[in-house]
Amino acid sequence: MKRLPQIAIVAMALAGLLAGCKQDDAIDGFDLLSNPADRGSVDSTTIWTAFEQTFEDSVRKTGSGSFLELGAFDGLETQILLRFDSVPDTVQVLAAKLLLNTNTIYATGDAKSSFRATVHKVNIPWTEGSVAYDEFHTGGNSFDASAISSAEIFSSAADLSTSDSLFIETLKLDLSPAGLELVRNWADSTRSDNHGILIDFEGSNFIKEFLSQNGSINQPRLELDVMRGTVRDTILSVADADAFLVNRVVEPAGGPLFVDNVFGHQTALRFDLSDIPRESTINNAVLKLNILSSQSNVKNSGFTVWVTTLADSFTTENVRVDSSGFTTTATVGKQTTVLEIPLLALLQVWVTESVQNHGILLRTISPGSDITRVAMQSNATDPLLAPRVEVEFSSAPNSN
Amino acid sequence: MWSSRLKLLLSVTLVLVSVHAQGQSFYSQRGLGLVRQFVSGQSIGLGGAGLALSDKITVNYLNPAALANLPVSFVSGNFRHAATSLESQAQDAVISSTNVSGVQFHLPLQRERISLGVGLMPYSEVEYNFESDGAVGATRFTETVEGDGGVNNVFVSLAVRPFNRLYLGASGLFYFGSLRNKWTVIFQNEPTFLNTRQEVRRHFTAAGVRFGAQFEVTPGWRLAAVFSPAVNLDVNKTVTLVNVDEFADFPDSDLEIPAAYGFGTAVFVRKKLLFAADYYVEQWGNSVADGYTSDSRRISLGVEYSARGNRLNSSFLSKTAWRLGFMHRELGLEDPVGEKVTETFGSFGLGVPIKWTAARLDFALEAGRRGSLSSNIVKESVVRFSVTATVGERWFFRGGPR
Repeated sequence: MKRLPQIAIVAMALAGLLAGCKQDDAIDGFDLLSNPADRGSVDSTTIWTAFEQTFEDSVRKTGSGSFLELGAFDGLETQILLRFDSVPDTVQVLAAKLLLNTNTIYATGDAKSSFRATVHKVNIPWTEGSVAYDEFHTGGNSFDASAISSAEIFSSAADLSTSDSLFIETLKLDLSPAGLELVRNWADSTRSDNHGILIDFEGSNFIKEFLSQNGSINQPRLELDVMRGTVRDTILSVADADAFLVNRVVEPAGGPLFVDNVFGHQTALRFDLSDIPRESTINNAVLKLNILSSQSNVKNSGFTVWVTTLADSFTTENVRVDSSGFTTTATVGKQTTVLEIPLLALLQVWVTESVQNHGILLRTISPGSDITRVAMQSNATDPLLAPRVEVEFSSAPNSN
Repeated sequence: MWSSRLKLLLSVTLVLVSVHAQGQSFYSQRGLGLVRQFVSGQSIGLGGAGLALSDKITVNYLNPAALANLPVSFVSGNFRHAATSLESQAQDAVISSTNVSGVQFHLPLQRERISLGVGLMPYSEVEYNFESDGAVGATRFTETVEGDGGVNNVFVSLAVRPFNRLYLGASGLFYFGSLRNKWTVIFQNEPTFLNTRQEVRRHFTAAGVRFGAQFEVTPGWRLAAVFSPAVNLDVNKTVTLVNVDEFADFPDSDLEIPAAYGFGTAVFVRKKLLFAADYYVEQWGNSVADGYTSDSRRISLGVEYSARGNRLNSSFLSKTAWRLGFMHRELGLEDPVGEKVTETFGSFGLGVPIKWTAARLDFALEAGRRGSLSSNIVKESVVRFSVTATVGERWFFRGGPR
């Protein structure tokens, strides 16, 4: 009887403690959450363009590029200009060859073909930093109609995987006696009519790309067979100036969005982010651009697209880039079907409105370097493949 | 002055206060959380009835007038462990909590005439935790919504006995506390994704007052009443953001503790049986608290048997008290709209003396339910075990007991 209180206390304590001896559970799911505004969200969405436009700026100067183009392909015709200012006057030139090293070709399919390349004396002055097709050919007689050399150009390319690769193809053009006389005149520094040579083509359906004098190896050069006094020797004279002229004979089909190296094609895009709450944290944002390979010219080394933010609302008359803003690059390969560009940091500042969303500009990182062009799907060509940003984000609760 | 047993009780109480660990209730999501109405350690075993009780050892937390009857200095602390089984149409969960219901120190300024009490007790508690796993593409994540916090109050009470049968008391209350809402997302298999957290904590303070009275109709019958006016809690908000750049701010809106009043009665029969009953109302129907549509009303009934050893020098066995109680309360909530949420509890209690002259341990086991599946979204089955330790000492003693 005396122990009854103690027994009762122990029983009560055991009952109370054992009733809660399981590990605490969280309530599974949010169906029972009284205030849904206490909960945020984790979502993904695809944002399409609110604005897209491709436009063409001025033709880019090709003299500072790494390549020289010759031939005709995809509505383009190209010619090469070379000038040699360093032919020595201390030797007697007995023979001369023009050497050019191949980089790649722009062609369709695998069928082999060829065209004839001819070399002509240029009659008018030009500078590699400013020469362009229309200005060069205005007025006629910019070059001699008669050729001082010619050669067959074949639709084979080179693989420049190493600087001393055995796979480098070299084009050799033996100069005629008139060409040899021209070279001898170049050695005379008192003459002021050294305007170099033009390499033209006949009957081409592809474009051959050569290395330019701006590279560190295999520049265009003259191989000179000379006499130094009584000793016969062979010397090389590298071109001092070069450029390629490009003429568009067929306009590209309208509809796609373009970015290219030589005609100044650029594309402006702006995306409507109103579906993403301002309180969101962007976890992933990728711009996807579907490539139209049938209207693109991309070589094996690819084409690098430069993405920058626009500082103002886009107009073709006034395209202002935010030079201190977000910037990134992405490379389109020869086989690329969808170009993916990460835009996480940019989307985050746009969503929180710490940076105003005027959109982005796609352009080349190497203007004037070659004739590479990338065509992308647009709303006009296929709305389902138009430029889009795939976003994954978390949104904090909005208790307002 | 500070005897070893008093130091021990104070130490244990302080430890319990610091080891406070809260559990969950689905119904704590609304307003200021689940309101607790702790009267005394004795009243828990009586279904919560105790406004009219005036035991020589019981320290009353809700009716300050009862303090005037205490003959010596007391320290009292209550410890409670609760286990809740949550049941809805779609899921079950088990949650437990361990915390302190109150600590009070009583000092008789004039023995059984004027008393001073100082204490701390929780007014409400919030604790809920929702969790769900999801996926965005191939990326898995866990999303959590948690809420915790509550309102506490520190009080200073003054009780007087102007006439032999009338006891009056008043408590100055200082409410303080915080309510925290936390939302987190943790990504599990994608290190480049940012785990995010938004935590909004609302801190508040306010001052209030409570009045109490007891009237001894006959030596074995007492009536009691308490009243506390409404209090506006001044709210300040702090926000913690992790990997969240923008916060959808909202204006600080004040919170309110509504007015409350209660009536009680206690009847002794042949000095061995005690019957107690309380009716207590909190006017949530007048407030703008989220989810509250009507007043909270509680009815408590209890009976206690002992050999009536409530004098300080009574024998050990005669001091042991056995208690049974019943409580039914409308919380004032509707969930879903139109369906009131109620709770019903039965209790069993025991009061045993400690070997010292003026000391007692009150034990109580309560079992009941909150909400019901036939009317509400969630039913909670609750089991609670409470221990209240009360230790008295004759500080500043002037003369013997009356």
